[in-house]
Amino acid sequence: MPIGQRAPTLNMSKLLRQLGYRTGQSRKITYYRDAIFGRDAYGVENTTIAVNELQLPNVQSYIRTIMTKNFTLEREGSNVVGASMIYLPRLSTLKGFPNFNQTNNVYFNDVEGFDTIIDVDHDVFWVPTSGTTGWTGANCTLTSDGEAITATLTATGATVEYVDNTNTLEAGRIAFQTQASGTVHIKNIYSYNGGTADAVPNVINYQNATGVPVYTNDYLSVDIPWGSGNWTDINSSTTAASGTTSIYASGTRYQYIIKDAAGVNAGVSGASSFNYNYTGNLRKFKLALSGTIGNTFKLRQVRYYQPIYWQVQGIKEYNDEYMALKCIRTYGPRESLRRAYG
Amino acid sequence: MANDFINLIERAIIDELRGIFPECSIYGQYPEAVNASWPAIILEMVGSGTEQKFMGKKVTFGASNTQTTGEIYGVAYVIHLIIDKDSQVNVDNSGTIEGYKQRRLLNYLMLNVANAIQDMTFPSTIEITERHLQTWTDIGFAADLELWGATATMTVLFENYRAV
Repeated sequence: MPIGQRAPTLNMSKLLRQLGYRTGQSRKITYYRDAIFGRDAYGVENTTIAVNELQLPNVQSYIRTIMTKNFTLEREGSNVVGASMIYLPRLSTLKGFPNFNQTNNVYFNDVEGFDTIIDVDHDVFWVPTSGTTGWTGANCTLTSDGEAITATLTATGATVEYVDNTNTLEAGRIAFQTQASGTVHIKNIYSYNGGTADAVPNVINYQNATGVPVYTNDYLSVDIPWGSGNWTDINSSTTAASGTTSIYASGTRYQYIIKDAAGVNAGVSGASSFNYNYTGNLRKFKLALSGTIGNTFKLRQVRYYQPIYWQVQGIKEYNDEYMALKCIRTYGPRESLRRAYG
Repeated sequence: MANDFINLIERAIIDELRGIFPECSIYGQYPEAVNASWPAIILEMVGSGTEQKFMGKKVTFGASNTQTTGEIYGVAYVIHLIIDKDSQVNVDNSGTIEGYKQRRLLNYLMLNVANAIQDMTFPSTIEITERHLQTWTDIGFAADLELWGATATMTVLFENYRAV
């Protein structure tokens, strides 16, 4: 390179998009950070949340796997079962996303150790939105453009639901994308497993009284944990205290309380009365919306997927073009055991 | 009944701990990595054998006239307390329910697991002659595993009835 000539810069975001079209290794992940709890006067964490969890989906990344799954059992019970290098766009690009923008969301400043990158192991079930077969709506009419289901509201508030009878046991999270015209909020997300009646133990209900506002110019990505009755069985780090989860829109957190059909909250502690059996086939996926007549609500890429939880152990490279994160996987379910024991 | 005292003792201890600490996972051996959940109390047997053999074989224990082998048998366990960062147990602290975590939880568990084991009543089908719970050791935080833990050794001696 001639002296004085500036080295060409690497447009990491563009590169990741291009790689994503050609390989499966570039894909969108969900960035997760545990809630941070307060401390008592003796330096021990208490149960008061000082800073809520971050759960920010739709980040383009490149994952170079060193070890995807290692089933060697170690005595201590918490062994490393995978390792990878994960490349993210540079920090300023990341902060360009509404959820990471520090003006909107003061809680994301930088990538830190122990942050979690939630990757897709495989999709267990895609709820089809290429047509309206299986879909019904209350207070709305449904159409599909071959990619997304569109609900046009015919009254104030509506529900859309998809009915099926298919296995989703191996999934650990639910993700979908939505877009709306006008002011539409998602108030409830329901998954019915093992039955379509509004009865214990069929239903899990993610509830926010007002609901997250759906984007009008872009698709809002939603990615929430899903699993068994006692959430600590799956991965305690994916649920915040008191059985809640988060949907972020433009950097603002909307807390969703996780309930069963009887209204019992899936608290991390004392969750024994929470009764939802995720092991049954998926019978219904349902959303409850708020909005007014004429508003439209588009829904696409609805999927139950099995996640991989990568934990950031080190930051190898950190420059103007990209971040290279050394990640390990400390939790990896054996699905045969999950099916056997529930 | 079957000569199955070791299983009876092991299961009695597990049942007792499960009843007193419902928010903890109680394991009779190291759990498989993929199924482990915390906080955990792990009862792991590390030894068993004859503690004392009386002279002669035909003896009677207590008021029973049944003659059996004169033998005291023993089993030794290590009890591990393991908690992770998110582990929480709600404790009634003078009428106030407080969520105990981390070091505070470990301190609480050490004393109360010891109390539970020392105070427990074994089934009437076993005659325990002695029980010894040693001090908690290896108390601390394993940085590579992100787990807090403590370990104690426990020995139980029982009358090993069997027909002669």
